[in-house]
Amino acid sequence: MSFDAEAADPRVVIGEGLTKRYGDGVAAVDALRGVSVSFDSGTLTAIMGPSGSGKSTLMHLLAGLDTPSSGEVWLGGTRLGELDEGGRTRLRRNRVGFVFQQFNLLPMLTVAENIMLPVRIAGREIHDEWLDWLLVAIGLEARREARPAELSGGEQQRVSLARALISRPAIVFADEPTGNLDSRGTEVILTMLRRAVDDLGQTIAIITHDPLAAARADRILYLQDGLIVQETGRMSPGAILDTVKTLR
Amino acid sequence: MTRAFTLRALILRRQRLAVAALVVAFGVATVSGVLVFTDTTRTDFQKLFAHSAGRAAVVISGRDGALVPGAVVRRVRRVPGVAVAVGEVSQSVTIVGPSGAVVPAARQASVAVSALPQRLSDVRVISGHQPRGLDQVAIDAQTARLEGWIVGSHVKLLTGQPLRSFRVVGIVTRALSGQRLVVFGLAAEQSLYGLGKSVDSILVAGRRTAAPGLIGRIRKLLPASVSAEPRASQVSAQVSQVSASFSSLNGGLEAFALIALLIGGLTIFNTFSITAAQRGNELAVLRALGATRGQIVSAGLIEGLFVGVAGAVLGVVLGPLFALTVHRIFEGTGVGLPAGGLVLRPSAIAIGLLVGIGVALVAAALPALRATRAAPIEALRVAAGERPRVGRVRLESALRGVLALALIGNGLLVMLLSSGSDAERLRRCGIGGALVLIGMLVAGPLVVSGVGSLLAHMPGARRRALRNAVPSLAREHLVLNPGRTALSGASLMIGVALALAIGVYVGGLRAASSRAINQTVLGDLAIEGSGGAAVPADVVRAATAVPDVAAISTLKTTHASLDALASVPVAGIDPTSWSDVYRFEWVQGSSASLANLVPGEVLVESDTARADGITKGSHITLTVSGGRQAQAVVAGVYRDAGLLRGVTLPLAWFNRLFPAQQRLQAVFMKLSGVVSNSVALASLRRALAPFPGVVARNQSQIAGRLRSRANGVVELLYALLVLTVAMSLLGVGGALSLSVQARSQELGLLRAIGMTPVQARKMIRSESTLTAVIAAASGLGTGLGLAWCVVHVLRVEGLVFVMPWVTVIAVVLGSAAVALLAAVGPGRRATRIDVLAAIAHE
Repeated sequence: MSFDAEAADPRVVIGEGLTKRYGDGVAAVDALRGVSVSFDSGTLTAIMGPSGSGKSTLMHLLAGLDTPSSGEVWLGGTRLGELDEGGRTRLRRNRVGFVFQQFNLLPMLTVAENIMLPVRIAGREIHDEWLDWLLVAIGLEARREARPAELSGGEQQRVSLARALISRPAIVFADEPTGNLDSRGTEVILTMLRRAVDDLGQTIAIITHDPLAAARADRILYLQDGLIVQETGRMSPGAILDTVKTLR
Repeated sequence: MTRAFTLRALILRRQRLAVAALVVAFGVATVSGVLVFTDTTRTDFQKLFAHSAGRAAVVISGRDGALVPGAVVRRVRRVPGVAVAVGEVSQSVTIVGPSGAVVPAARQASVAVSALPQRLSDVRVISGHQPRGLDQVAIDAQTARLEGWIVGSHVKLLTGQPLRSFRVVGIVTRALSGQRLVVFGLAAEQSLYGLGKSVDSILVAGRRTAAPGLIGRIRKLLPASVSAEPRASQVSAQVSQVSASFSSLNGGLEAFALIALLIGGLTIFNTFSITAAQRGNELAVLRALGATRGQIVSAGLIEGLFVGVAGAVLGVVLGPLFALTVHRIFEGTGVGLPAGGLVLRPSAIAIGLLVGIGVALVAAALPALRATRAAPIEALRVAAGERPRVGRVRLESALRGVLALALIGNGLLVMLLSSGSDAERLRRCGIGGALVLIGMLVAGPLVVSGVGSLLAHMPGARRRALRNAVPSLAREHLVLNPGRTALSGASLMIGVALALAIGVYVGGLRAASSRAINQTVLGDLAIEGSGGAAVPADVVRAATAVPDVAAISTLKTTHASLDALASVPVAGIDPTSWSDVYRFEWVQGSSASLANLVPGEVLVESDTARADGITKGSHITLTVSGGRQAQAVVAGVYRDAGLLRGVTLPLAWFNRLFPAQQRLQAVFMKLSGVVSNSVALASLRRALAPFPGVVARNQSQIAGRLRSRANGVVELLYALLVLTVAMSLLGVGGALSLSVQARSQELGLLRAIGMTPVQARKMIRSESTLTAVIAAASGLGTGLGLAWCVVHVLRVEGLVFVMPWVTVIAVVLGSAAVALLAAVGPGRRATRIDVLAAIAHE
């Protein structure tokens, strides 16, 4: 499959026939058993599935954190299989944003410094207006000099989101971004993820267990035993819960 | 429950614990190694003296090295209860090999001793028999093997007589001191050395039944110049006398053991502080699961015990190897430490184990105790990386600052206000210096914060930090936990500070002595015995034959007791010719005092004069060989670092007081300058061909020899300190590698969001370098400050402050180099961090 007409093609990330096997012989575990998936620009996709279904492995492969046993990943027009570890690292820092469930921020850096970190590591110019815009958007412009330890869990996760957006990546992967948050914190983060898609045209994929989170997505992928077993459009939390139940 | 958990956790974290245990092992190895070395050195000296007294019950010797008249031997033999009483003589000898070359001395000058009956001697006959008659000798086995001598061979020896041949009739075991040994019959040795019937000492063995009161009965018939001591107390007296003369060595070793203890303790404590964050997390989980405080603390203690025992045992094994290395270094520098295997005293091992396990337990228990103080949930939050409130940090910093200033100020006052004798002042310098160092340790975290914010606020720093994140990330990480950073560098700081202080002290001594030597020794050429042996008087005639000699003057030396003082060196010089080869640095008196020096007058070196409270015009009493007392008037006081220490007499009087001292210590010659110095030296060497064991030296060689005599021990201390610095740098590396392990999550996150492996390695390298630079800079400042104080306090000694540029540069380059080296392993580990494992949330 060729992928040279980037402007015309709405797909920013494509995975083709991805498999991932850990270990050898009888002890081998197939985490992914042939997944093909793509993400359109400016959409919010939720990836759901029980523990061990391969959600995280899929994200790792799509984000260039790990290499597939077979299959190919195109990220923003680049075939990941062509890159070495250094190339994948550079691609990650320029084209991918991450929000993790925990241990997200560096304790010695301030809010603003944490947000700027990927750009600093990449050695690129920082646009102060963009930083200021993000700080306002996450509602922490008054706390830009605060350290992570002085923030609540929800506030820390908002900083992570801003950090994921700072380099205007092709895609943001959010791995259980609400897993450690209370209901109010969850609500705030989900709203912000949605706004990033709607207002900035950002492409986002979130991995989640939470039907409430998945209900904000434009599209929901259900994974089970290393395969995509169902794909739906936007659904209510109740319908999502029902779908999950039918899959079990 | 907790026990099982702890043990399982230990297994899970075995890599980190292995590193911690290695660091503990390093600290323990340093401590126990120094203790083993100290014990070994002491025991060697003790053995040496025990040997010199043989297996006798009572040893009779002249006071202060005087000879014992032969008549005393016969008198002692008649004392009831005495089984055997034998006179013993011990003199220096030069052994000439079959090739005609002198057999080089081993460790100390070769020695000729008189034969003793087997029951009084530690020297055993291996083959042949004891020498009898004038031309028979026995020789030690090592020397015999070296030269291929067997019973029946002939050896050439230079005794008190010109070189002549003797027949080897026996091979004996070597002296414990490691010296080469030649055994003569007593009468033969007395006549060869012109001693008449006198002996150096008498060894007495009592009948088994007569031990009590024996020594009292012997003492009753001894002349005043002669004393009798039980062998045991005589040995300990000799050991303490030598200990005094080696006091700077002993003191240095003790100080070094203390430093090693401090550095080792700091390193061990640091290990646990670094891993505390991780362990704190686990402990918080345990607390949340309902573990009691007791269980938490015991879990911490089990881990500490595990690491402490493993590390301490390994350290105790490595310690003797360390000691062996130090011993080798000492041997390499040529200082005559006695031979003998390592002495492994249980105390050295016990102290090493106690230190390692004790410090590990304390260091492991503290985070556990801290964890129990907070409520479970709070503990979890603290463990998750929350920092204490700003107000509390400020209060802590303020208290820390006050304490540090108080310690440093007190230390400086103690140093600068010290008074009294040299030793007292040096001691107070040590105490003051220790206070300053402890103050610097307390101030460490403040210094780190200060340096950190200084770097952060340097012009352009912000821009640079934005452009290049890696170094500033490293700096920010170090400043985040200034206590940990300071601890990591603490051992390096102490090492550098001490190295510099000692460096300045050595440099000052060397400058002082070399100035003195260059000013005082005017002679162009000198003749000396190799290995410090004496020179036969005939060489003067040979030397006179050398063309171009303008002046020639001889020096004789011995020892005598001066007033209350124990043995002091005594020199005999010819007042008229001596001024041609030597210039006195007068404290009191003038060259007229030398020119007019007559029997009954002496010149005294200023150190001796100060110790005895002597000034020009004082009346002194010299107790000389045979216990005779000689009264003298002090005609002048001079300063001399190396050649003429103690008391100087006119040669004519010296010869009367010390008739046994036939041979010369040295001959100094002044050239008229018609031929070049090297031509004269060559022709002097030719003229001295018939005198094996005699060496000719030129002026710079003379100065070098005198200097090395003055500085030998201090330089060894210096070598030890360099070793400390090297080992403390290892400590920095260990700390760094632990810190990488403890931060695998953070590094994983950085890698995930785009830090390349190269950048990760660079960040670790920056951390290492910055830690080392801060520590080395603090150490440099502290060390120079301490050194200035020491020199200031000891300036009456003629000590001058010489900026030790070589040391400074070596320290800076060494710190930088090893900081980079220390970062290699941890840096590699940082690049291999498993990103997926680090960011996994399960």
